[in-house]
Amino acid sequence: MDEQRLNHLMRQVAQNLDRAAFAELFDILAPRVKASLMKAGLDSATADDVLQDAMISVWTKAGLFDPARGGVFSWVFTIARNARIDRARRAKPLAPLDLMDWEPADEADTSEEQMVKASETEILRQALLTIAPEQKEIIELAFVQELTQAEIASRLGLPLGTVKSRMRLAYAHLKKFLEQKS
Amino acid sequence: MSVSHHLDDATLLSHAAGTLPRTLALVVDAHLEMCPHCRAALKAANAIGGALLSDLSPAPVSSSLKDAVMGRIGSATIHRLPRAQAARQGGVPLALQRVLRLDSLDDIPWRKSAPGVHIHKLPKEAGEAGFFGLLKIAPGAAMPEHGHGGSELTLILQGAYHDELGHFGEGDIADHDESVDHTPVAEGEQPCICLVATQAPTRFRSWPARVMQKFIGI
Repeated sequence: MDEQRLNHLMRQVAQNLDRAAFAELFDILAPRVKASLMKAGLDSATADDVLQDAMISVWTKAGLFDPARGGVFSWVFTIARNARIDRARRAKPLAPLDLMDWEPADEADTSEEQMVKASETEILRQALLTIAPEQKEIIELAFVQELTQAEIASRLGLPLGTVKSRMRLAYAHLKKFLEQKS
Repeated sequence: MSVSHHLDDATLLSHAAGTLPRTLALVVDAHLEMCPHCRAALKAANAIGGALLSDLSPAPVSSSLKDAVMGRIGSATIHRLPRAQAARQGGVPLALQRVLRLDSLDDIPWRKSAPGVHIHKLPKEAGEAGFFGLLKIAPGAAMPEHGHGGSELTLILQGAYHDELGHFGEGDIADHDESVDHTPVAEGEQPCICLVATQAPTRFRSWPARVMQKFIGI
């Protein structure tokens, strides 16, 4: 995945409301968001509804995307997650706060950090290949299948404490990877 | 404000994955507003989600869906500027304002439940168990040890207490997994105000929640 290209397309959408750039982004992002929604157990019709909401948010919020604060995939992941939660709580919408909406500007990273962040998705993809299988399993159940800690425990027949400690180990491992590479 | 008690990494990952129960997620959001350390940690957790997303094999998306989206963006309102950069007012984090609908902790219509203990319950949705609300506890209380059960988060909004785990002040979050034998003591002159969410059935771990449990039997 060419992150430079993705960042460029995001910039085109944000600055010029460039529909052709958005159409190209759509073709890269939408099929992956759809795959994640299907893996999370949504039926095809609901997944399509959430996908529409998410892709429209990509358009309307493109101006809030800041490559210094993380990669496009990481941003789109949060957009899709919030769209899913919004749908589920339609009766009384209360999506999580969007971190980029209110984060103080003075936390913006230096240009040196930007270069690292730009490849953060790639670093993490590599790191996920090196993680212990029992930890990776739990990370995927949480992020891809979108199960709660209690649901993971019951699915795997493990005590809740074991699920939590494997999540902590996985996070520590991945974070170390990010820090080593930066 | 210097936050020294942070979210458990497992809580952080579940929040990034969007799988924390709503009331717990709201307490986490309120803490994130007050804690740059956990905001940075959440970014890394979101990036894990992004990496997993980028690795998925694409699923087919119909051209009619794409057409519908391309049609709708023409009339969609663009978010130009961050919406909510205003600092939280009156000690109420933005995440909490959305359910409390008050600008100041001073305006909360407290209900006295025991000497020195006031509570204000926040609305729960159908199917949500556990306690979700605010506690105000006068200085000076000390509580016996208790056991523990399901998830519980306690965010200190005002005032402070200390126990063997340390000093808990404004912005700190009590997100403990293990039962700790301790005798917490309130600090300072002003009451300690906390936002608490639990999942029933539970026995409370943090001191303010245990005060509540003892006096109002939740």
